[in-house]
Amino acid sequence: MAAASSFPRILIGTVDSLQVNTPVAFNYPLDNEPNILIKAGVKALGGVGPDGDVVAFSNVCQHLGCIYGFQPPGTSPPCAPAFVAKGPMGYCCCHGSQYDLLNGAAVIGGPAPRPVPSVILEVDSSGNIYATGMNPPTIFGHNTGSTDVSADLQGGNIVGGSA
Amino acid sequence: MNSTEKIAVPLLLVQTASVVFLWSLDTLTQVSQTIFTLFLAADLLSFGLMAHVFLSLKTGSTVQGTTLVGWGLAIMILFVAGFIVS
Amino acid sequence: MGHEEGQQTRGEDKADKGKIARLANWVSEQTGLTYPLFRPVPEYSLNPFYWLGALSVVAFIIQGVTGVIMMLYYIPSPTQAYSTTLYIFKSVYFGEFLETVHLYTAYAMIMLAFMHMMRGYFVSVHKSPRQVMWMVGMLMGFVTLGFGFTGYLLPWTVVSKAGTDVGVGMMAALPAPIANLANFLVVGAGGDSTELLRFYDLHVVVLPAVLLGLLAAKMYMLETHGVAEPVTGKLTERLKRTLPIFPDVTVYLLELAVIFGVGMLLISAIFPIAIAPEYSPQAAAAIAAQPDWYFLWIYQILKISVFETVGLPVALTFVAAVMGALVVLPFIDKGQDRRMLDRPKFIILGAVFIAEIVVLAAWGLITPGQIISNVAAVEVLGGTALIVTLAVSGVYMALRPSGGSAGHGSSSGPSAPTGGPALQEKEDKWTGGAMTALMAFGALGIGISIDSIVQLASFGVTASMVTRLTISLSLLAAVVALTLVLLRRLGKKLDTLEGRSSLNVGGKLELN
Repeated sequence: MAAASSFPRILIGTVDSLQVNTPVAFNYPLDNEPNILIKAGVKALGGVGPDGDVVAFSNVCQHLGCIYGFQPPGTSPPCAPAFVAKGPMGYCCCHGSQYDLLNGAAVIGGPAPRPVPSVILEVDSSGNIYATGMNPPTIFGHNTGSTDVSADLQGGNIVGGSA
Repeated sequence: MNSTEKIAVPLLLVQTASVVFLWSLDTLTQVSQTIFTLFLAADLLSFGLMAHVFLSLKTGSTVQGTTLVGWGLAIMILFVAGFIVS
Repeated sequence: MGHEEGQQTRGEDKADKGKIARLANWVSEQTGLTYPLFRPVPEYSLNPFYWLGALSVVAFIIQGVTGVIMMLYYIPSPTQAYSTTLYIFKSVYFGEFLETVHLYTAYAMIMLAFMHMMRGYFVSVHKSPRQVMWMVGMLMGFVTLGFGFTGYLLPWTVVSKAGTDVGVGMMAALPAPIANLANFLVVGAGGDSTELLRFYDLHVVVLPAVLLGLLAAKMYMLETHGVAEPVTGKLTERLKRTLPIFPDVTVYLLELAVIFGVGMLLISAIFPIAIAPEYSPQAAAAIAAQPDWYFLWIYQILKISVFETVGLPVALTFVAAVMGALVVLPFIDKGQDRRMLDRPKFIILGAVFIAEIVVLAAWGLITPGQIISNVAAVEVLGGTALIVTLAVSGVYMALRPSGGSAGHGSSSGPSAPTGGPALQEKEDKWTGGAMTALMAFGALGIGISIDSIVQLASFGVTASMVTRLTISLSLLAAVVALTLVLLRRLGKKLDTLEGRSSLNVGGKLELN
């Protein structure tokens, strides 16, 4: 099992600077692994912050590794104008995988076989948000499908230098 | 070989003209690169025509009149197209 | 360039011949090369179908020349790849020309290699003693696909990086030791920057070296075995007559190369390329990643529902099995029969293979990002296979009216009733080419029609889908009509050839 301390502790931003349903992109734990941080506006599973609505997930779809887009409720993805998101969700334009970001990125449509991994977040007393680790499953391309998150640290440069 | 000579001389004139023209091109714009492409194609075709005639004479098969006309036409079309584009 | 050659071909009197011969002798004395370097070549091989492989090499040389010039300006780092690519396009003399020609010649190289393989398959070059040649050739084909895969990433555009990411992600689905090796080879441990650098190294150093090595091996074996004899039934003495490599066959190759080069130049002039926007994860999220057209058939297989459920490894194993079968073909298709009429099963298999690949690729193009239902897959792919099998079987039955097996006589026979041997061969060529084209278009029409019908049924009637269905049905009707016309023509020829063995009639189908 990977020690939690081998994951870097990276500052992403502050709670006050977040706007509802406006994603913040950041790379974690490697400098080539994109993630998105969302303030959902409603309480979310695993959400941090004073309203329990701040969540972050890997931006790489678990199906075939495409980058999925974030869809605020009521919007449509550029590749499927007929589809309307009912809540804040991830919609992957490659093959239509859908992740419910209020429910730990549970797969609610499309061919993705499992949810995208969530980033472990910490908020300190001043409202700074830190990424401190990854929850299983592993990020796509890092021993895909495994629950051993130590694989997330391999295959690239760790953000902020090695911990 | 007289037939080869008869074809080679006008073809060489075509090639010389296109080389002279190519040197005058400003090669950064897309239009001049298209012109360059067309003239290079005309040059290559004339060379290919001479090769075809040489080989036919060598192997003893006759050079069809229509083949010659076809090649020549293609060369002229490319050449003219190059001028039109510019 | 052309000026010197013109002068050489012009004065072909003894003096010039002497000059060339003296120069050649001097070169061979100095270097020790035996003159001529390659053995003389029979005249029947002065036919474009015999030179598809050589044209792939010509394309490779063009790629090398354009590639080396671009290497002067391109920098393989994620932050600079796109900007230097754009710089070549906009600010380098003939930069746009270089990039356009490089792209289209890459496509041509892959296409020519495929045609070279299928032509060899149909005329049975993989039989003894050329089994190893075939396998070396298959390896060269994989290297060529590798060129496409590695080169595609280098501009670092949205489409290229997103598509390559999917491809690299799929490598992770291979069994662990192979996946780790593949990952080390193409990605390394440093994320994007080492990945790009490795792709670049593979593309400009490793793969060219491997290809040249395999090419040398294949040329050596070609020298040992000579050109495979045609399977058409008329090997006259005139055709067996050999021609020296220099200057005759060299000139022929130059002629073909010129026509090929002109074709590529025209395509480059008529269809200029545009470079997609730079890669960023946000931009990548908005597109449906697709591989380049030569991988679309694999991608389309992956999108079929059944493979979604059982997973990527199964689908990849299936594709690998198909490719593996092609590599070991000489050991599957044993036996000495080379004539197409004697190998109905393998000819049908080959035709189905081509049809399926074309259908899968075209289908993939029109269904980006859509999962294919099992029903649709069975209908389209199964339907294609069925119809192609029926069509080819029909042709076999038309050409073997006696219903018995073709004899095993010698390949010579009485000359054709309609004109001399040259005309006969030309007609054979056209017939073979026409049949192949008809099969390909037929498969396309069938595939699109069935898919349109399925979509109309599932999603309701839309104007675009109805149009698509109409167009594909018209294409299908045209193909059927042309096939009937072609069969009638062949049938007419049959009537005029009373008393001939079916063996010679079967020669019509040759692709020589």
